[in-house]
Amino acid sequence: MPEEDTRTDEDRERSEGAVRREKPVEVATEEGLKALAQETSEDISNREQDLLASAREQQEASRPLESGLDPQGLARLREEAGLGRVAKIGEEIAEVGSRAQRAIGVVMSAPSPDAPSSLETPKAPRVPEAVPPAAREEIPVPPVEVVQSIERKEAQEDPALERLDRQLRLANSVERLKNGEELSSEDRARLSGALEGRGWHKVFNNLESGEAIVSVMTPPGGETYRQTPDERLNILDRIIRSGTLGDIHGNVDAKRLDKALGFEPFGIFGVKRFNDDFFGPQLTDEIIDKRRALVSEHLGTECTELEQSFKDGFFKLTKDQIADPNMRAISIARVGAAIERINAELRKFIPETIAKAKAEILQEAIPRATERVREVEGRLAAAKSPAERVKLMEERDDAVERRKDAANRYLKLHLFEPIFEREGYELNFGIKDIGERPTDENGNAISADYSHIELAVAESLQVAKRAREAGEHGRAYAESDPASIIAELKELRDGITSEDIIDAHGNAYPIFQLEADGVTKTLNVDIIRDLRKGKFKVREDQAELLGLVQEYLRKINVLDVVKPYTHEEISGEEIHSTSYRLQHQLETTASIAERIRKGGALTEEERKEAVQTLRREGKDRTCTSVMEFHSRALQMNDCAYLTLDVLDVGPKLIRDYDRLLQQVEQGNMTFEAASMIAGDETTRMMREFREKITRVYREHTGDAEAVPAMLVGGDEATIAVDRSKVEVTDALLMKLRHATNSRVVQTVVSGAERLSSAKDDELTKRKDHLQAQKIAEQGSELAKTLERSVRELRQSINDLPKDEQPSYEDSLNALNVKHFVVKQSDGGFKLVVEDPAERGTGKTLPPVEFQGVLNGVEQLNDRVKAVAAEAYKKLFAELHPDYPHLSAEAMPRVQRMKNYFEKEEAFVAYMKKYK
Amino acid sequence: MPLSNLEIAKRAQRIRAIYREFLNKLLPLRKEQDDIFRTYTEKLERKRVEAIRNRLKTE
Repeated sequence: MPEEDTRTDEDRERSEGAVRREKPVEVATEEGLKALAQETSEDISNREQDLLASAREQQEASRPLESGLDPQGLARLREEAGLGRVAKIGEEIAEVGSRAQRAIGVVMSAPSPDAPSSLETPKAPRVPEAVPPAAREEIPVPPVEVVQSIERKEAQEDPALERLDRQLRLANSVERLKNGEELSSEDRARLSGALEGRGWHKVFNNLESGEAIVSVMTPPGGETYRQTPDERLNILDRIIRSGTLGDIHGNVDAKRLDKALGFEPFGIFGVKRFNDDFFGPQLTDEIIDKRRALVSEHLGTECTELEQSFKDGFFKLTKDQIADPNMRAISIARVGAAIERINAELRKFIPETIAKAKAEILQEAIPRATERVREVEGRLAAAKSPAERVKLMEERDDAVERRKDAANRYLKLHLFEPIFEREGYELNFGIKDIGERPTDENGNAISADYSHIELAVAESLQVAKRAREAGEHGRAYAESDPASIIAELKELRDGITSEDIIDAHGNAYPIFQLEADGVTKTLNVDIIRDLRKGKFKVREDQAELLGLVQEYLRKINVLDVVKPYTHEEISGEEIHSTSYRLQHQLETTASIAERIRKGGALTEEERKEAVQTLRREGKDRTCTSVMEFHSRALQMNDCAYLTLDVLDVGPKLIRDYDRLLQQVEQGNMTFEAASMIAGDETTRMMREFREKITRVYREHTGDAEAVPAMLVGGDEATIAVDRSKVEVTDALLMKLRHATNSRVVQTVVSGAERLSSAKDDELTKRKDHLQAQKIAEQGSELAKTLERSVRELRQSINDLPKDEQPSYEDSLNALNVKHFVVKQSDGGFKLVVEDPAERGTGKTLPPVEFQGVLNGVEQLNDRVKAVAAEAYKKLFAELHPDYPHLSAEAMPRVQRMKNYFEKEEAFVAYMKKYK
Repeated sequence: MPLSNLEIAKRAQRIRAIYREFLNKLLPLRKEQDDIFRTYTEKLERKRVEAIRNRLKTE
């Protein structure tokens, strides 16, 4: 869909409404109360007017789009969209508004109850209230004891710490199981739960042919959400002027604040964004839990729950519910109704959570940070020794930074709000019947083959996505679905006739890349990468083209399923790096888990197997499990964390989908087959990646059997290395970089550097442990920034005239950033690069400041671009007389083609279109 | 008779509750209205994209 702004005014109106809503402050006097009533009443009528005005404006905004359409078609579209309902909504809101106004009147005119009989006046409890910005006072600062208790609470309630704690408790239970000790009832529950909860076990164990799977899906992170800069600026401007954030953003205008904030309206519903930008871990967990509970509550009455993850859920409909066509229709309708109920509940719950998050920031986070700043400043004033002063100054900067972070989160919540109101946070569902179990050549069912379930899961998710695209809650799979997906994709691809798409800086990107077979053309990985992050900004006249490309990208994503096993493993081959099959794992695990829960006897062998299962990662048995990683890393006193993150896993995965779907289109593969093997290539690649890490680690330690403590993520892995036993050198980092071709970041938690007292040592250690992983993320982001700059520079150099290129290539090589690793050091990040004099030996240069290198790349890029602009001008002047249709904008491409064609005739042939 | 602090707080709380309830009714209506227009605009836009696609094809 083209990213045009057709609703600026409406957005502005709305954002004002959003800011007006949340003004927590105490009301302690009758004057204050009256002001509150007055303001609320005004708010209500403003909001009412808002809604009516917005209807008028949206009607206006659609006018230009309507022009040229035949009246009949227009009437049909209007009816389909439900435009007739708008007038009714107007009536309803008028009624709701006047009822609220009357209720406020009743509250205010109620007679005063008798004054309190006792002499003591009850203290007014603090109630966050809505009052006009002008009446807002400085944020109250709670006393120190409150701050301390908040910090304690924070430690107890930080969900990341709690999750870590759960893992460590599980590790203890596993240890007891291993030693054959007596297990408590908690141990039993924990162990059996962990065994059963492994990827899709319940799905495989509880579904059979003739039943149906219901998949529930949360909104994917990577979708496009509209927010105009105007809307953002208005919201920010309001908040700045209201003074809610005190002097935190005192002397700044909305434009600068917007830039500093860097708010990206794209993909705001991802868990990571919830966590980092809006709600913090605590409330994010609350949202996830609430959603899970709602799904269990409402959908659980219609069908049987199998499992739910933090993003999706699987349920089943029994044969009774779907065998008879009438029953089937009813069951599907009931699932739909349940999802609608859940969505309605979420529509209420999320605004409440937003309000809670805002209140938490204003009443707790900011005052806490403010108090901390004051406290450190007090100590700073009294401090004498320079060393102490420096340390305190750092502490103060840190506190100021935290205060700012909290304020930024507050701002982002306000920016989030109108998007949420427009887009909603809605679940979708898809239903697919489980087919027959595959049979061998004699027609006997193969009991070790679960691919019929695998297929149904994939297809149910596909229809959920299709429903989402169509703006429906969900639907059941239809036989015609695959064919229409393929047809739609082909049509879209054929519709994209332009070869290039031009970004906002004038760089031309080829949209498709022709594969070796000469037929298949897949979406350019560079475009996929940036589109997924919402970072692909195009020149104005390219918006429609971008819309088509985006739609294409969204459509190929239909194959996306995160499976814990490959298709081969699911259909009965041995599980990677083991000598048993999925069936064995499912059956023995279920039986062992059952006996552990009930306190039944286990053989020595079974105990060993259970321990081994829990200590190894579900999707890659060569690696340690999450539990094992945390428990081992926390036992290290001087721990280095090496985080490796594979480049472009996501974009390449999507390109694989594109390729597979075209294989289906060309008749080389069935849609079912494509659905089942999609992603397997990536799974294999990631396993290889982890094997390489283990190999390098083993070579480095000289222990051929060593299994590093590894935390396995989707496209990354972190290993924890005990520096008191293993030396972590820059050469090791570089070796890992070369072996895995990944981004490498090192962070450190050193026992020696920690100054905390023995008592809270354990808690501090855990916090540091989690912090190190957060820091690694930042390091990885920095690495990405540098990679992006280098990529841009390389592209610019390619677009230079051929004879100009070598000297700039030399300059790029001199920067020596082809292979680098990022290292946390002295509170910042440093870059380690190879020694260019001894390339390939693994020798590295001393670490350098990150920013300096980045600046170097950017400066060089500016220079190259200036040279290119000159060259284009010259070439244009040269060619234009012969090619009158040539435009100045086409010059980068013309230059590239000139470079590309060896023979002059070929170039002349290419240039024909400009004749 | 002046209102006690407790009574002020109570009334403020009630007003806030009224406002919240009003929002709870308004926001779904607002969303419904926006959804209607969004669907409508999208339908219109889709028509337009179709037209562009056809034009691109013929060119």
